[in-house]
Amino acid sequence: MKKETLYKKYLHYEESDFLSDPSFQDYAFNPTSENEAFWREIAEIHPAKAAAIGQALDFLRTIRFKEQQPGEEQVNAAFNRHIESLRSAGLLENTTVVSRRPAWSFIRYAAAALTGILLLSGLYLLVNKTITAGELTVTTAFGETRQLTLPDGSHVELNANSSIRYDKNWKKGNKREIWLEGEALFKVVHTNSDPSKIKPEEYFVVHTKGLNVTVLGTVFDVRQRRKTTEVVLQRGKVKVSFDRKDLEDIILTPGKRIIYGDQMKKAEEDFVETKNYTAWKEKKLLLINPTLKEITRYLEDNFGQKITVSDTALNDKMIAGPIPLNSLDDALFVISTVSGVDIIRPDSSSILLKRR
Amino acid sequence: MGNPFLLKKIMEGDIDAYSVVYKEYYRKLYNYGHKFSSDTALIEDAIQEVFFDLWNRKEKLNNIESFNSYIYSSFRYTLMKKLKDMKKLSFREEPGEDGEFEFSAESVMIEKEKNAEDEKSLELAYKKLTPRQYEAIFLRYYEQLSYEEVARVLKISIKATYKIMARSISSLKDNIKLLLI
Repeated sequence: MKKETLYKKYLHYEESDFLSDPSFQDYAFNPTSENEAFWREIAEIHPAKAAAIGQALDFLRTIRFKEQQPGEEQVNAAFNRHIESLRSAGLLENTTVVSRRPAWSFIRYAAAALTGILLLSGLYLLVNKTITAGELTVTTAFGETRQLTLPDGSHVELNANSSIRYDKNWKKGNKREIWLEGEALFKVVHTNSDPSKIKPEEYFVVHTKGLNVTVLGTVFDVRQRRKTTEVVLQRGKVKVSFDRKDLEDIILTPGKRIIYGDQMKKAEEDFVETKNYTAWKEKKLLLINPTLKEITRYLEDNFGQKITVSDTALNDKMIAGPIPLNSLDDALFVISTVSGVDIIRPDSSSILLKRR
Repeated sequence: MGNPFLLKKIMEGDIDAYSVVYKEYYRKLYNYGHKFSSDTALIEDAIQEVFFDLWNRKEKLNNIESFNSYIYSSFRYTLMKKLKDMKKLSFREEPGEDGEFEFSAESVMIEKEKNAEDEKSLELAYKKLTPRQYEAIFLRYYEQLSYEEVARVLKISIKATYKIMARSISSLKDNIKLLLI
């Protein structure tokens, strides 16, 4: 469709028309930098429709479904039962499955022990929190993600091996402050009706290593791992300010990313596919032209196993396509198939990838 | 499914590739199944049957147009059949008017601050949508199936799927408009 006719199409649209427009629904439920830009432009061309677009968007995004998820053990047990039934029906030879078993079950034991420890430390924090005024710390174990709703109604998806701290007795009219280690995706709600005039006490601030993100109502991902912090904005507007006084604040617009690390002179800005930064909540890993090294680092951060590559030339090998993050085993399996490496486990906490 | 090479591996009988796909869809179908029934054992039986059949016919996997709609529709069909058989034995779950078991409206949530009274009215508003409309929204936006795939799972035309989506969202909006002001 020609641009002009496309814009004309929305001239007589009302809120209910936007609600029932498939491409608008797509934008509401699966935002990308492209459809975000498209609808932003429509709103600019038809200022009279901006309110209707905003309301329709808000409405669609309030629809949620309850989730019933089986535990990791339950899924594994179901798969084993399934394999047994295939075997007894003569659809599977005995030899095919056994090959990898010993190493696989070993890692599962190790993972179980680790969760136990983290659960304990989480419990300690929970007890501790009643003593230090309304402060609450939520921590995820390796391989675990969590969804939280903050006292103001904002939504947080916490990635594995991450923790956030916030005031659970927060009252309307106070500044909202969150401290983050690791990675989280934030969906922040407005506390006032006019997002263009946000007062300092209505700010939502995320503090993380080396920098702070001030939110003006929005969806964004903060990935703080090792020495670098990345902030990626999906929708809305945020301001990034740094602990170092010589660095100026940066206003982020949708689709943009900021990378900042201890050793860097200044923060770098670029454009990214925001989907890659939200894929982890669907238990998938998407990186931009990822090298094997970037993938193994991500897995280390999220599953807590030391991963070494035998041949350093392999590190720069690019791996395309999504990698499942449901379990470390599944992720490693995909890597080994795509890049032709064998997975060796010298002990319970390390993994060696060796060229076949 | 995002990884066509996994499908190829499964066709060759690779059990590790099969495990990855099985586990991904087990989680999805477990969640989907619970929208129709709270009977976990029955849901799992249905999943096992779907995969038993899939493995049995794995050599023909490349004839399948969309893996997603194949899995979802055969699971839906199997689960419905099981629920109907169960109904003959007991009176625990009630099918809808057309004899089909329905997608539960209780699994839909609206994220909005609300008091107990509003919650009651919201609940009434939800009930005005048909289970089929909820199911369409769930498959399209939650499970991210394409319109074509949703149409196949619900056994209706693509045009009808578009219509259901449009109608369900605007009718839901009309029903709860007053509450959200």
